[in-house]
Amino acid sequence: MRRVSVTGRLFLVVMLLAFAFPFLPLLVASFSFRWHWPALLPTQWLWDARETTPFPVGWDYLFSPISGLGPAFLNTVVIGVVTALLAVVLSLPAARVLARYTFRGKGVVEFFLLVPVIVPQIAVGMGMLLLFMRIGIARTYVGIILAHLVPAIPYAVRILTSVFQNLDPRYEEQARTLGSGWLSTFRRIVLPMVLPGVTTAFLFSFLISANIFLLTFLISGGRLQTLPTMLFSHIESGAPLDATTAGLVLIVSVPGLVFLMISDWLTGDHAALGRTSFGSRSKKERP
Amino acid sequence: MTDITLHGVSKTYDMDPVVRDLTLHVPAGTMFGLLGPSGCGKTTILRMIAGLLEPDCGDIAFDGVSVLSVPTERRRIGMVFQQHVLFPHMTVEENVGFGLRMQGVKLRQARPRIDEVLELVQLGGYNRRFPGQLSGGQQQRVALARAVVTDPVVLLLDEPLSNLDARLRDDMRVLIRDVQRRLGITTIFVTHDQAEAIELSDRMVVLFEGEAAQEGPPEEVFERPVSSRVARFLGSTNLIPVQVPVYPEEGWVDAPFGRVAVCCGGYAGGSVPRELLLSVRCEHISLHGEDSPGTVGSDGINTFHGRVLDSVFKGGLIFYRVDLEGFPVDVIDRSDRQFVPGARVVVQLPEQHLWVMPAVEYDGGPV
Ligand SMILES: Nc1ncnc2c1ncn2[C@@H]1O[C@H](COP(=O)(O)OP(=O)(O)OP(=O)(O)O)[C@@H](O)[C@H]1O
Ligand SMILES: [Mg+2]
Repeated sequence: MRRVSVTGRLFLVVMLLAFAFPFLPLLVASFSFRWHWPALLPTQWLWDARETTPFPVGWDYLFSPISGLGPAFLNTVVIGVVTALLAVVLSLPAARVLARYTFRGKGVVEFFLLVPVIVPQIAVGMGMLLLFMRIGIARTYVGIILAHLVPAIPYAVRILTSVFQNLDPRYEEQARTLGSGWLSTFRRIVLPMVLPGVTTAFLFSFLISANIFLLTFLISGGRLQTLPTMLFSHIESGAPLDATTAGLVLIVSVPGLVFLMISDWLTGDHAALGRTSFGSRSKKERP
Repeated sequence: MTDITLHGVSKTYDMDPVVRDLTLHVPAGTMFGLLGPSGCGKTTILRMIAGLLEPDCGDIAFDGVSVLSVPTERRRIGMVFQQHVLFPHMTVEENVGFGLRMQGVKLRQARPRIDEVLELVQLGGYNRRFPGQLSGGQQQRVALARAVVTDPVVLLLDEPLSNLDARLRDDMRVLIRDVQRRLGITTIFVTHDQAEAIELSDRMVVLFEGEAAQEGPPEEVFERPVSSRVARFLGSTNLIPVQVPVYPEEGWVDAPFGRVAVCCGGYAGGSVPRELLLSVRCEHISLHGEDSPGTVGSDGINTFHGRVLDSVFKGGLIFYRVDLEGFPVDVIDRSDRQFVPGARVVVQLPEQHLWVMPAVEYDGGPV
């Protein structure tokens, strides 16, 4: 560990506060029963109101089976993980080709990869809904995951393309001269070297999927709840920031944070690759 | 032992011909040097032999069998890239053992062999280091170890010693030569270093713009360049403009400083052009003090009087520039005595090391 200077540390603290600040009112709100402007703190806390309310509120409600939080959470994670995995697996070869080769129509391919990001999601979603209904996968996990792939893949391809642009093709060539076929070259040389980038692409795809409301809403027809659809239903039906919604907002941020930590752990000092602080340094060492 | 044949091989990178109709034969078990200016296609040629690049036309054969359809990983080659690329996520021993592992040998069983090869490149005990923890020269030696550990039949070395200091370079040269001889690996290596080319290679080729200008044993190429361009590229050579005398006399030419006897020339039969270039390597010229007559060849043929302009002592050799009646000649001398600038000397051009060639090169075809 290197020591950080005093100004450096001050800067870090300020940054942390700035990022954490929006969460503070949410945290307080999630434990409040009554919190009117201009009071600085709630006038009545949740635990004081527990006996007087007939229904569970806030965290009590969220963690009770009737809220449906559990299935929504599970749906979000499962759909997110599958989407991210598929996005990465599908984007890897495409990104490698886009990074390494020039071919006719490359610009067109690159443009079409961006289209889903540019075109409003509602247009994409309506189009897919019509198609999915016809082939019978609307309102299914398959349909939702396919829909999520549309905005996820462009990002994954972008990230992985720059990863492959930074990977010297000579590593693969050197492996081949040593008798390594393409599969073993990919497994033993390419994959370990692009792992940090792949993790980033995976994380990004997951976060995109975990934050999608509109596409899920359209394709699932409200039958299948994820955290975002659940959150939106709360927002439209209630006061902007009751305890339940505040708690839900906090929970929606959980998968992202967890995955951020996992990826940090995978690419950081703990990882097997971290032994040489590989990745950041190896690029500079290349002559 | 495998011999390598390139037949009419060409390669063009976006309209830019890099290798043109190259035909080369590398005899089995030889050490073959590839020399040429930067960008003349040396790396491109090695990559085609390795199968990393497909020639546009022509054929590449090992032992007379075309290998164009054989993928790199099955050509049984060892290659050291110009920018030696060690796998950064593997330790030194994992790097060196990679080729063995591809042959199905477990790292544990491969370890004695890995240790042996690491010992050879003077890196014993570095097994657990990562490439990022090695110096450039150490990385280069690991790359060399990795290329030879699998006993390839063809070894391709793209300037494998460029990052090493003089002593290590000598050691590694001996090592490469040893490994190559012991296993009879047909080896093609790229170098910029004359000494390396002379010391290592059995045969060599000089390339210009993807074309072979001259091919042969190194002594022959260095002493008898086919053109002034080859001579200039190889360097350490005096190119003296000479003329055939008005009344030609067999074996004599006129140099700016007098008449010189020559025995051989590099022009094809037919009419001898009048304007010629006399080539003599710096180390073949000998210097004598004017006051010590006995030492000079008794007949006095090809001896001229000159004055030392400059002398520099470098690495056990003395580099002179000598003025021969207004014409400067470079001399490399090994003897102990050093002439100071201004000293009068007798310069002798040994007849058997003189070589004449046409002064103007005509386009196309070897001169
Ligand atoms: N991938 C490529 N695309 C286009 N041109 C290339 C490519 N690789 C090499 N060239 C060109 O081909 C020519 C020969 O390159 P090559 O690498 O074979 O030279 P070299 O003889 O190895 O030079 P050096 O001694 O500097 O290593 C150069 O002019 C180079 O610019
Ligand atoms: Mg090169």
